[in-house]
Amino acid sequence: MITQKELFSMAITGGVSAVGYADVLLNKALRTHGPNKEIGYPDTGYELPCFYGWTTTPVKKLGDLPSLLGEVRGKIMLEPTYENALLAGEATMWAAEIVEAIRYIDNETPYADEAPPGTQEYCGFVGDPVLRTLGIAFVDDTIPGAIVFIGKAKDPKALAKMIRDCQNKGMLLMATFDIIRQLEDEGISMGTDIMLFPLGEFTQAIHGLSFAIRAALAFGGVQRGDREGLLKYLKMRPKVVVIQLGPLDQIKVAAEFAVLFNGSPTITDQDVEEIPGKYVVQKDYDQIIQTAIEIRDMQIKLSAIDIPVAYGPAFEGETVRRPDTYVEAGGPSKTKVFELVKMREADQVEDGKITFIGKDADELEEGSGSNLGILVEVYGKKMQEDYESVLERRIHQFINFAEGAWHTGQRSLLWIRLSKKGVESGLRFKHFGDILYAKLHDDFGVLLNRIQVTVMTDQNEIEKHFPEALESYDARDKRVAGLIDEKVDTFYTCTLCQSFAPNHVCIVSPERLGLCGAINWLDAKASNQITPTGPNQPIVKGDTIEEEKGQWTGVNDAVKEHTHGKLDVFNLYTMMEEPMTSCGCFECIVGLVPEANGVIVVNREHSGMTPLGMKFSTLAGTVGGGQQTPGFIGVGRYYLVSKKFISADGGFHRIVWMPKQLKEEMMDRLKARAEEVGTPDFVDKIADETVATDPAELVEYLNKVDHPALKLPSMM
Amino acid sequence: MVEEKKKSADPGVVELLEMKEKDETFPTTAWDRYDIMQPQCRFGELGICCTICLQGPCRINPTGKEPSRGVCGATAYTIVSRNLIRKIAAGCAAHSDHGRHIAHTLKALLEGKTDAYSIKGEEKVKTVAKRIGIEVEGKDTNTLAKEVLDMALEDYSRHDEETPLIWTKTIVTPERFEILDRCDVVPYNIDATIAEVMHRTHIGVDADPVPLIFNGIKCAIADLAGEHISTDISDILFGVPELTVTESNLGVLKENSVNVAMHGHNPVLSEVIADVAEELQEEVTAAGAEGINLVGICCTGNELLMRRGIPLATNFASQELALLTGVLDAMIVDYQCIYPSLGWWAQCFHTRLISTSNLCRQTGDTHIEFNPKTAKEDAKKILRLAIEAFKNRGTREVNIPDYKETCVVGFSMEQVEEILRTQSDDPMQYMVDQIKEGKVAGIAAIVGCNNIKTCHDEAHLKVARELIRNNVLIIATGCAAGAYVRAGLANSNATKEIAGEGLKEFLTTLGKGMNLDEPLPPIWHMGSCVDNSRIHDFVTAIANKMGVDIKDLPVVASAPEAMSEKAVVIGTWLVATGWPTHVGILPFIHGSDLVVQVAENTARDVYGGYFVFETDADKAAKRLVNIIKQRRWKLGIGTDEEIVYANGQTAHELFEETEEKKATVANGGK
Repeated sequence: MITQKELFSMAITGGVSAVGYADVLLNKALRTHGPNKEIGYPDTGYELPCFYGWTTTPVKKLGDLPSLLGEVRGKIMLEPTYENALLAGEATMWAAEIVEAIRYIDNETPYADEAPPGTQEYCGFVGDPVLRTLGIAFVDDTIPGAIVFIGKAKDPKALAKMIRDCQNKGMLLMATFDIIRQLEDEGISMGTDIMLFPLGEFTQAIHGLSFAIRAALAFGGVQRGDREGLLKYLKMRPKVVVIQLGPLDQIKVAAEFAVLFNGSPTITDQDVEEIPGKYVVQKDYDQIIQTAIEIRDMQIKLSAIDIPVAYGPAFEGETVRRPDTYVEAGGPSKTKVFELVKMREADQVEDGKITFIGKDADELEEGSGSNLGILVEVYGKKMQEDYESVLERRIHQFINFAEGAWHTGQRSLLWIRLSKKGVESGLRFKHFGDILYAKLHDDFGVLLNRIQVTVMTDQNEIEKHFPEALESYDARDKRVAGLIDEKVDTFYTCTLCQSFAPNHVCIVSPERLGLCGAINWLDAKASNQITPTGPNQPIVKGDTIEEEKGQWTGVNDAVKEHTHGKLDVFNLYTMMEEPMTSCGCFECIVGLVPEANGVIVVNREHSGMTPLGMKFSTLAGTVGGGQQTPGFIGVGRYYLVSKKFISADGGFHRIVWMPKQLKEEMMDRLKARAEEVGTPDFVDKIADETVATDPAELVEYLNKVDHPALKLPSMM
Repeated sequence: MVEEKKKSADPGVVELLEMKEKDETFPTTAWDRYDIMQPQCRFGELGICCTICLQGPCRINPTGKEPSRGVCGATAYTIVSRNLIRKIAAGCAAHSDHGRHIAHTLKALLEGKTDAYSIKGEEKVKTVAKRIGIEVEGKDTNTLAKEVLDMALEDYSRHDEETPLIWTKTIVTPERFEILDRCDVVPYNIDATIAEVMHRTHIGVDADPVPLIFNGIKCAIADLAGEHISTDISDILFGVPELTVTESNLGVLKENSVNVAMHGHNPVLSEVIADVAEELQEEVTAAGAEGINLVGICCTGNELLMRRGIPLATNFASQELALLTGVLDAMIVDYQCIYPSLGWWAQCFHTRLISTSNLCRQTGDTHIEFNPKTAKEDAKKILRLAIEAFKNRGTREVNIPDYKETCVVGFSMEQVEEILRTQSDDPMQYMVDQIKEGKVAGIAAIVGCNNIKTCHDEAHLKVARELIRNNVLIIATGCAAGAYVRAGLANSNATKEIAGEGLKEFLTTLGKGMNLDEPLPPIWHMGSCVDNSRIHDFVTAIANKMGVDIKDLPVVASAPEAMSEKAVVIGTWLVATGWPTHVGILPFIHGSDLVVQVAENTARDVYGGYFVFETDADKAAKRLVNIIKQRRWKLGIGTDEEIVYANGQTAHELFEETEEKKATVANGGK
């Protein structure tokens, strides 16, 4: 039995060892590289995040570090008390951050070869793009918490069960030390795209803490070095728990006190005298996750779905590549596909009826293509025809949540794959029925009283429903085309992110969707129907103050209320004066380039340099956190092709640069919009990273192609 | 009644000890003196007694009460770290000075100042030259040897702090060099590194435990260089050891011969003695003896065993007992591990104790200082003293224990490659495949001394037997190897009788490959304690072939009966180069939790290697087998059984034994 006093003592000796180690490595690095050597991690706007969060001193060069390390070395006291153990934890955090930062000198992927052969590559530092990708799920409790696994489990099967359980509950997971290898043995996939980060061993564990701290900085509006604010925030969110399996040692305990210093507890399977609520013992592996949920009061939104594969947001980003595909529908296979949500009368829908017609995956040959129709018929007293598309768009996410299933596209252009591993585990097309029934009930239970799902691969059956599908799509398009800001008197707020970014509010109008790209006006409207007191509140526009800039009395009042008085004026259609704020979840950043008299657009997936001299991650640091920053806004990508896209500043023609990949992904819509504004060749005039990564190159290119922005009035 | 503790696993030694008990006129043995010494100082045992400055001795109260700091304010972790790394520096000084002496001998040869030596390892000159980056084409052996020598001496004398030791940079895997360099433990000058440790540990210099320990590690890396230089130049001068079949143990002493034991570590004199012994045959005959019977003790013995098949009489713990046989006419000592009691013992027998190194004299000895320039004459002078002593044997009772065992020795790296080459043109790939397939589950380097605190040789034998049963190939040096050749574990029978099936198949195949009727032994004797360099080379070659580092390989090291400061330094570089390293004797560090944690855990995180302190040899063996399985698992080559074992309850139970160990520590390791 390790007593509390012994535990404190371990944390303190661990702290002494950690800072001594960091000191040796730091001074060696200083001798090798000199004090002016720049340090930092790839893809982050937060320098060395643990320093960024906890100190006001900027850390950009190696030479900035010795005095900071000295500061925490000076705090370590040897008397084994809880307070001293926490101070040792803080010191350990900084020490680990220094040790890790040194690994990243002149090397963006220092852990590429670190893992033993045949093992999943360790990811080390996890960049801001991953954080922001999770953003929306992180803030709406789809991700109820984050669990960092440390050590080695005594029963790998039970460990795997824990991981599955966490994944089904939607948690963000991080694995370290031998646990990574154990998960590998159990066939559990890991990666930054599936919310299970194999951080690495030893000091790499600091990147878990760094991730949580950056969440506070990116979404919480916590300012650099605001120690009190940071701790207050971290005690609320993200809900981090460390699970320490196997023997303790001084460094692990010191690291756990570093986490505790950041407001999050540890659960261990070892024989330790508990510190209630902070260092808790749970030896029964079947109870560990429940203990974690209770200790952090996590809200579990996902209910278990009875399908033979894991199910949760972890797998939303999972891609099923061609060689791993067992069967595919739509896409290159050119089979006939559709998905349709249709509102029916009560007597036409039998709740819970799931029908499958045709041959399922196990009856199809490996590598074959299949027809596929998904028809969801619903009835509900509050259901409106307008919501059909809202529900239908969610099919994408609901299917992607299943491990081994991949869904992209929509309507009759969808493209679905089932992986070999998934089919081997028992996943079938018919399970889409189970998934959609359960998830639609979970998320839209207030709207829907009855749901029945028909999944079909039989050609004749598909032909039967296809005309109705086309007819519905067409009718919806016509309705939406008429849905413009001027024609409605109500906008909606979106304060979904306020759990994370307390002072940010999105104003969602028919022509400007939420900056995360996930909530459009119809979504917000439906959401308000479902939860009248929820994050999407109707705003009556009220009197127009500035028509062009998009300012209304009702909207100003709402903004003032929802930002707790922080903002009182707000313009919907300009980025230059009192623009919309950002939480941190934005799909793209739009930034002014004065030299070009236009704006660049950069999406979070783009890790390269922009003509603004900053990468996405650095830009994001200045745009997020609920601040109004004229000249910079965060937007959902479809806002770019809206008629209201910075319409007060000159609109669509202001776009002078965007990453090639984004341009290609949005090509059809960009072209359509270009034609709409009478410049069919405009899209080609937008520069990308292959022609310009600095303002001079950009202006040169714009001149060469005679970009219309150059002729617009000055934007400043 | 307390049962008397068993003193030795060697029946010959037990016999002699029993005989000694019957006659009170004999001097005391180490066993006696250990008993008299009880209880040993608890503060010393825990490493928390500090005598570095004259304000001391200071000792820290291990129960957490006062005094918690020395007069200067040093806490337990500072005192323990300082004491520890001073031991490391001493060990490094011993090994690297040994290397320097051999280098100076080569220098004397190349400068034409001695005719007692020649370059017997011409091929070795080339391989060393190539490894350290010297262009070999078109150069004759002496030119090349001179260049190698200059580079070796430069590692003792370099003043450019930016340039790493050549004997570090060129002998480790690239990944290992990167780790060592990042941790600032790559030395630029062996001697300067020792000086750095001594300076750093002076009163009022470094008090921070991790930087202190890292300086110790740097010194251990310097030690590895010193050892490697010793081996390289010894092989150049005296030839690379090749497979040899011979016999060992006290039974090799001959009643009717002039028995001359060579004890210590450095082969520069013993090689010359072996060269000239035959020249004195006439004088021997005239004295009435059948011949000169050269035997070895300790690591000088291992050097002679490896290169010349000269039998090893005994190892460290039982050195005094060799005199008790009554037939030892001379004991020639060079340095290291020579009991100061030998002078006293020699006074009670006819035996001439002859010390030969300026560094190492014994009261009661005859000092004939060895000099490369006059080596042959010195050697003859020494042998003549032995012949004289033979004449003076008198009528004392002869007690040669009737125990000796056949041993197959001579497993230099070059020899091992040749053996493996009988199976494949790519010998290291063959070795890698055997490990991957699991025929050879892993490799254990069993090294180090004897320690009177534990039954002589018993831990060596227990650990080895258990590992061999579990298909672990043993590579051994020093007094551990000395135990195996004398106990019959370094021969074919051992393979047939105790090796696991896979290992037996592997050794039988290699035996056939070498055109032997018998399998190779399960323990490959690689040489003296400086020849731990060969162990390092063998395992590094495997790591390089697999494209990994030692920290990933299924290898373990063990010093079941560690004793000397050299053992401390060897253990340290083993850990710092990625070996899990068992030590069967508690070193003097348990007065600081921090230092123990660094040794057992943090070292693993930083260097991949770590210490396993376990005084119970049976338990130690189980843990080592478990570690091999864990590493096979982690490397992705484990069998299903191994994966279950590495992950399951067993692994955890072994961890839980640390609790028990804590209790042992609390009781002072008893």
